[in-house]
Amino acid sequence: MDQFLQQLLNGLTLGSMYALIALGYTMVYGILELINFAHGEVVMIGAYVALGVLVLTVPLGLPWYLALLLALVVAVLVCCLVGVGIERLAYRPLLSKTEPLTLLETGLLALTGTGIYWLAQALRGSLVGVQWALGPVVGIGGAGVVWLLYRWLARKSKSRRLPRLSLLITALGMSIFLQNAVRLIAGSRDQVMPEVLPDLVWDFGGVQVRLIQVVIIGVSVVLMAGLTFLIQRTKLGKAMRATAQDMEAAQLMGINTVKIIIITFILGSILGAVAGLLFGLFFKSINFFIGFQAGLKAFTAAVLGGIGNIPGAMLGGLLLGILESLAAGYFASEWKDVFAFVTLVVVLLFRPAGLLGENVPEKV
Amino acid sequence: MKRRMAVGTVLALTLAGCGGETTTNADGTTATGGKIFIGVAGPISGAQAVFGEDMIRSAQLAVDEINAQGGVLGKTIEIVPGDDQGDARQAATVAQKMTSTDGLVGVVGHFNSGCSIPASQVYKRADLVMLSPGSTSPTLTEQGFKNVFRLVGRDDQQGPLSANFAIQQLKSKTVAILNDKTAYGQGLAEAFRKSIEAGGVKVVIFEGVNQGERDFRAVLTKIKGLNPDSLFFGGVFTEAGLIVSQARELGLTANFLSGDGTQVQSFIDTVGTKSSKIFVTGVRTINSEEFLATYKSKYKESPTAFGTYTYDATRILLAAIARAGSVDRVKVTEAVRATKDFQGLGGTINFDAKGDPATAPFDVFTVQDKKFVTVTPTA
Repeated sequence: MDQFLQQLLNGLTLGSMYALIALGYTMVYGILELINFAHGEVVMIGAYVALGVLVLTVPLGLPWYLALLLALVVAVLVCCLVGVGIERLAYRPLLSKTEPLTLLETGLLALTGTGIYWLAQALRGSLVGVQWALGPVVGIGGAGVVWLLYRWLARKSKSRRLPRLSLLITALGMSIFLQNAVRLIAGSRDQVMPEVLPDLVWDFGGVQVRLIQVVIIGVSVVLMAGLTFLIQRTKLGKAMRATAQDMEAAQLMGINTVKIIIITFILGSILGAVAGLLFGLFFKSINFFIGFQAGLKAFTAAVLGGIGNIPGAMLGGLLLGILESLAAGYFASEWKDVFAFVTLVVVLLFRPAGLLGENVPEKV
Repeated sequence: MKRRMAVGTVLALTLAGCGGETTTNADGTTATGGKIFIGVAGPISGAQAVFGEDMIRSAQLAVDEINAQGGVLGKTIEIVPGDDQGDARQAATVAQKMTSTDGLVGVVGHFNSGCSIPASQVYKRADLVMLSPGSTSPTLTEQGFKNVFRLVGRDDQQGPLSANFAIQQLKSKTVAILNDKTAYGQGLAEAFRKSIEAGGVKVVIFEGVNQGERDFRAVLTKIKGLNPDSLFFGGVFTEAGLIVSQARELGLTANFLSGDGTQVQSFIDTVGTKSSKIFVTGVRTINSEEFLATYKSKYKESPTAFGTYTYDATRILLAAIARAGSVDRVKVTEAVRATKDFQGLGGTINFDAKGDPATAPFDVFTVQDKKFVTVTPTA
């Protein structure tokens, strides 16, 4: 019996992890009907940033909660920059129209480029002398090129709504681009997260409950509840739902839909950063490919629960995690994915829109 | 840096190929300019990159030494890196590339048995010699190919060593066995099972896990319920590290046993603080101070346990080319086969008829103070 409960807890934790990532997919889908494949990579970048911060702060002897908080804040900031950057540079030209970059945007791009160059050199231990000066040159140069490109693209860009397929392919492309960018900067080896969380274990009649498991389950429930509240009960949420229903009508009602979309991506990135940090803490080792792997499972979870539906993502994630754990525990671990995906197929046969139904715009 | 160099080499090769610089030798093979190419193939990127990078570095040290002495047959040696990412399909592609590279006379590699086996079939068709520094699966040399050699011992030595250690030293009565379903992991796990069952120990579970997986808590919870006194894992450090740390988290305190695929610092790093009761069979440490010092001064890191084997494999290949007096692939293969009493870093190296080393001992290691230390056998 306690073995069954332990498996259930394993599944619940794994499922919450999937759910946390699935929330990011499902929210962007709910608003834009876009499967943002790059979300998995935002999670991965969040994990890397958190790892970097923890590696730097742990030797300083910071208390663990401060180190974690700092890691979370930096991860959120970087992920937001990445998320908004993707939206501005890759999705917006397809969603509405290409606009030339503003001075602020170009500046941010130059700063990011400089930062990435310094980071890449520092990781190779060659950030000395001339490399310091080369950073801004590369950053400003890169930003200048992008500025020119968008200025040229904006020449006679009209407001347009392209088929969703082009957006989807762009998202896939972004995902592959980010994976390889991280691979080039940070290398392709697995990196091990420092052990920061205190090693607290509670024993309930043979069932081992660890602090990290409680944190993961708690955080995903809180974030899901918060997100549901935000979308259903606040003015911002109302504007988001309006944008989801009919972008043009929403614009006519005085809603700045461009801003709403940016906010959607910021929220998605925050979720991604949290998921990335927890992923690193829970699985201990990360590499550039985790975003894709975990993203696939999370996406499955979102579809299982009904994509676009926030409680659905949670339900789908938990179900997938528990199924996998029970399959591995009572059958064979090499077949657990088969169990998970057969379930998906069966569920979709009976409920094509997922367990809780797809959040199609008409219904909101 | 390494990757940039790799790209450079490939580019240079392509350019050389296009530029019409290649000359056809009298014996029908081609040589490019004043250079002889040797391939070094392994997981240069991906999760097991630590092994592949180490191979390239160690081989480069051997090549640099020879080049400093004027090269071989009056030509300088250049390495063509091949990245198989530890993946069997990639390995076949890399092998194709190696065989079709003009002026390439031999390959040091691959690392993973699952890569070496399919690659060896490609090399056989092209009569290209390969020397693996790390593939332990018996299958590799049991195929009966004349062009396949290895410097490391076999899993039918390593598995029994681990099993006997469990029986005699750990007084094991029941064991659980997991493997990663690769040619190496599964082969080693089966070798272990055979010996441990012969010793009267009960195997309570024998199961595969998926490579690249990060969560093993479910299968470990199941194993905990079966309450074995030891857990054997056939596979490499990426999964092994997570398995140990998650097992300890779940309160599974059984002895952990594994093979040479986990004999690398990253394994200890992933395991973290709960590193007691870990027993890894791996290649006997070769204390070649000169090699270690040169390696460390050049790359600021220590080599893995396979660095010395790669270094020796490269030197054997280069010596064979010199003795063959030609860059003909068949003649070089014959020369490698004729290798006699080669002075390797760890002693004399000879190959048997199958291409296996006459002596390449394994030892049992345990983890102390974040390092592997040899378990001294109690008589």
